[in-house]
Amino acid sequence: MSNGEPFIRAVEVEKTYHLGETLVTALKGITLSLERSDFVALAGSSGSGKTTLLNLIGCLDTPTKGEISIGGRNVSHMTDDELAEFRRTQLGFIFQTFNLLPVLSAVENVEYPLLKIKMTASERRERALAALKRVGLSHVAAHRPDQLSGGQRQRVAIARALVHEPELIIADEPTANLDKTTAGEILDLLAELNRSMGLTLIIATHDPLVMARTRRTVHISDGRIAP
Amino acid sequence: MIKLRLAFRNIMRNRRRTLLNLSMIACGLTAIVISRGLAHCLIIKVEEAAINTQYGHLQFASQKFWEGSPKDRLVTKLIEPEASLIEKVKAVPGVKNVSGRLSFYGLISSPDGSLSARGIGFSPDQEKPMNESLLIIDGRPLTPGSKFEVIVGSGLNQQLGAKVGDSLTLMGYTVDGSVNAIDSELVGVFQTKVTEVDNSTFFISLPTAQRLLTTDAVERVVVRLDETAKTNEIRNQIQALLPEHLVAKTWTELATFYQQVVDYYKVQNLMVEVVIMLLVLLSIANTVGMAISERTGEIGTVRALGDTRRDLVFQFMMEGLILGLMGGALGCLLGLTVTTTINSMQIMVQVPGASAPVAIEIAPLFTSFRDGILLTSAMAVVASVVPAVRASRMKIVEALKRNI
Repeated sequence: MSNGEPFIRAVEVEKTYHLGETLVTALKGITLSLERSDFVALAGSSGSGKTTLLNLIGCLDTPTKGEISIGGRNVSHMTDDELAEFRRTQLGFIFQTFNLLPVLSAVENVEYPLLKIKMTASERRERALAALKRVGLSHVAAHRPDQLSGGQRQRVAIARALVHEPELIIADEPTANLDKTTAGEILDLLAELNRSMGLTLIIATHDPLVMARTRRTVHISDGRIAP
Repeated sequence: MIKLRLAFRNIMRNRRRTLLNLSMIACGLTAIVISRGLAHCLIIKVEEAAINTQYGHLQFASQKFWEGSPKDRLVTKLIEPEASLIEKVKAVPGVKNVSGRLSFYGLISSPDGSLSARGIGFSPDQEKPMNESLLIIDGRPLTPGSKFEVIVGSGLNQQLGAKVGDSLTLMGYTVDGSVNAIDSELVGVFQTKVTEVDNSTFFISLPTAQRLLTTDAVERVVVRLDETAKTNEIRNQIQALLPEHLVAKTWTELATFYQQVVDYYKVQNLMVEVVIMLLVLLSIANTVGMAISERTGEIGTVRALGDTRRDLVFQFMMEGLILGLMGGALGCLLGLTVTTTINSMQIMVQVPGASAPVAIEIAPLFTSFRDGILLTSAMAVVASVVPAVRASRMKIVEALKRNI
């Protein structure tokens, strides 16, 4: 961003969807700006709309109304292929349930986002191993997800999220399935990545422990930003 | 490479289901191999029977003979090829032997009675394959160079009440239209398993037939070759040597039933292959559908990581292809095993036109294996497309919810 625009800008974003025959309005005109290298928690109770907003910023879904731009690019009207390309190159994802591919080893999982990037297999492997080293898991590179603990799985997922050096990492309840100690370690790691790499991190959560660690918390309630 | 590994490991995830699928594909391919291999061998047997016992590789005769009605006077259809022409035909490379035939309708009489029948005069020494391939159920075949010997069909002999060694009187119209008769010794009884032939045919040597009809002419000249594959090529060469009124025809033009048999097997094979392909298609479509249902969460994940819809469809098609190729490889082994086993069992069947039962043989044709693998793999890929496209259209956020 060279023109002083916020890194992420959401303007009057609405999202409606059908639940059976009922039309549900999940977001009711959200306007939000986030700066580059921000470390933000989107907080709210279940059903508040925080995950819906996170999905929209993560280009996993498109708004019914309003505009979202990331890094100066309007993502609201991109085609499906353009969104896929944007996710692949600009975004990293960390999920509550880790979402590792069970038939691939830890290092192969980390390599996955690099598959479409022009590089040799050995370069790809090198980068994946470096990402695993960064999260402290070099020693389990060959392990399959079912051979790893919950904390290790989430670290592998973090390595996968940062291996292609995205500008923005989207994390949906990344500590919800972890014990308190492990959750703390994961948050330490995310904070360190934010600090050292300047990654922009947005975390959807309802965990006060997470909110306490982020630099900013945006509260969502009933599809709106709470004052 | 990772995508390939991913595809392979995904296939091996549910080993029991994969094994069932592979078995389905392998059995399908085996059925194609057996169906085609059996048809191929039976067609060859029919081909051999047609060439050996009836037509030779090619024949030439007058245009009138080929086009005329059986009611036309025999003399109008006969030919007397010059010795030099026969020598020229014999000199064509690939020609094994050349000899005339003369057939007629007449009476054959034993002490118990007379019956009308069709007599065929041929040269037992020149047409050895025909002489030797007749199934003789009593007595012996005609002796090369013999005169006044006759062999009769089993049904005809039964009606005549004759025994080998009896003297039978053969009567026919000479080329001048008068009646002539000669006595011949019944030396053998043959059986073709074609009732019409067995009930109404007898064979004599060509000189005997010519003597009965008081002519030196023949109705057609039969040419046998070293290689069946060269039939058309040599027919053209021979036709170029013939005078205008003589026309050469190949055995395939003469043996109309042969073409019917080939067409029949083609249709049968096609039906078998269509049914098998449908089964493979449905089976794999079902499996891929189940796999997609089980992997919905993962589909959401890879889409979130930046895979396009096309990438996803390609991934499932690759899994289908691997399944098809693995099933194909297994099918090749199974096909070879079943083929070898059946061939070793020496199961006997009667084929149309052959005088004796022949052992069932299944040719392990390279083309059957190749086409089988291509077909089953193609079906496996096609079967993956519809469920894969459906999967690619899932909403990412909905698919992600299925991760537990």
